[in-house]
Amino acid sequence: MTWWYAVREGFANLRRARGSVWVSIITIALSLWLVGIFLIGAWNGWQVLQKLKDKLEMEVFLLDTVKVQDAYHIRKSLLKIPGVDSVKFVSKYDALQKFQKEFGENIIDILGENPLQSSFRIRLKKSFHTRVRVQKIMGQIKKLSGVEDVTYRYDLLKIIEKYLKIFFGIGISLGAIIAFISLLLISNTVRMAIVSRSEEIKVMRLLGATPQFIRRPFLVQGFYLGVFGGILSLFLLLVVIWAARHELSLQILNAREIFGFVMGWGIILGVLGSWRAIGKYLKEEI
Amino acid sequence: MVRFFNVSFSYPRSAGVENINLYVKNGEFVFLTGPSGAGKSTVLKLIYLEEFPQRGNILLDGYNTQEITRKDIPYIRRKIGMVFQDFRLLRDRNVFENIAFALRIIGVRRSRINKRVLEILRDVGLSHKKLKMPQALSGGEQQRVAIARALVNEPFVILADEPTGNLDEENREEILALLHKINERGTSIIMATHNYEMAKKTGRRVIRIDKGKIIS
Ligand SMILES: Nc1ncnc2c1ncn2[C@@H]1O[C@H](COP(=O)(O)OP(=O)(O)OP(=O)(O)O)[C@@H](O)[C@H]1O
Ligand SMILES: [Mg+2]
Repeated sequence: MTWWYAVREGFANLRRARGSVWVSIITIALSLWLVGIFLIGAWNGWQVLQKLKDKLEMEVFLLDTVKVQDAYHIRKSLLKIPGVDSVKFVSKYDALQKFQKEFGENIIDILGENPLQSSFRIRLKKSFHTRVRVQKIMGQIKKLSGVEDVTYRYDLLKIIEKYLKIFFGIGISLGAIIAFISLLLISNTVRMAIVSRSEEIKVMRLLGATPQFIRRPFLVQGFYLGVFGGILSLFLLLVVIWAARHELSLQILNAREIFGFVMGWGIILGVLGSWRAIGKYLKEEI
Repeated sequence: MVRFFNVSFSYPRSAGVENINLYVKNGEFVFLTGPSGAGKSTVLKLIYLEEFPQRGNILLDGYNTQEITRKDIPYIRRKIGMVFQDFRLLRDRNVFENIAFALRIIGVRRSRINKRVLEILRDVGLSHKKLKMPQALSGGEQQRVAIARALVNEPFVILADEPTGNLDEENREEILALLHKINERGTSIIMATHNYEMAKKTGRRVIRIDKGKIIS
């Protein structure tokens, strides 16, 4: 019964100040929309990074003196190192053929011998693509006899990580700024509702309404603002997702996750905003 | 029952009331008279807990101002009906809704509200005006709506602060008669007015107050 009252009166508050209600809803939606876009972007970037990492191989170059028999033992030791997923042997002749295919030159004609080394190409397990772990594995490999050198391409990894961080940073700070602005606007909208109902509030106090009861419609109003802002941003996001699917073939978070996130964040903003207004303009002056 | 024990209260920058002793029994009808600024409204504010005694204490139907907390205030107010000179009706709803409001905001069930409001409208003789907006009523009628709203919770006391101040002679008599009728059914009434003669004529107890003190 008393909740029903709050639900109805909260809605009445929305109808009373339509202009500021729209502004609030739109800024909430904008904030959620931006956060949503960056979330999708970051998630996709992360996916790309994972794939690239999987493709990054560690190359173990062998001394020219290593015989096939020894190579077999080295391979066995490599496979025993934690983090090593698969090991592929590339003989110096394989390497030569590959080189010739790629560059179309016969270096034996030029140099008179095969300058390439036999090597192992190692793929690491997913969770071992961090700097510390890679370093540790490389150290272990270098200790094996017959190994001349180990290489791993950090640079690419670093670049991707750097841009992802920048992208994420911009997204978070922009989202935060707009979230803050929408918080102020929500709070202002609720304040206007409180002011326009101040006569009613005075009478309610005289008639013995509890402070919680008086506050509740305004909290509910903030909740509505959050929900409507969330719904609007959902539409905006769907447009972006639709475009992204067609134009960029990005992978998208599933709909339920986006929905949950956007609505949850919208409701948090709405309730926090009205909480602020209530605290400021509806103090305990019973 | 309303009882003051040596109650003093003063506003930040002006006098209020000093050393008030007062005992209004259940079912009594008393007038509080005195010139403007005497402290009549202040005494009523102390009863409905808009202000708290700075010295002394007040007993209100079992509650003691020394023991109650903020949380108790709404519940105590539900047992006290208030009527003001300026009616304080809500202009955005009709007579029925104005009275129902007092029940809605304390969580009374809808079916009970309906029954109770119609009952009380009959008591104050305004059944035929229940769908009118307050602005469409005469001053006397508006005050009757306000009285109905104060009464709908079945308070033990009604505090009326200059309830006839905005009314002409005829309406004043009508409101007074209504208050007498309510009092006869057992509700105490404390009415503040600067009109000593009017109070005197009724033959009820008259408490005179001046410069914040009770003088008789
Ligand atoms: N909210 C307030 N703040 C400061 N001083 C106040 C306040 N209300 C009343 N006073 C002062 O307290 C004293 C008593 O005021 P009160 O309103 O109780 O008088 P009253 O008898 O009701 O007068 P009136 O017949 O004009 O209504 C006066 O001096 C008044 O100026
Ligand atoms: Mg007064």
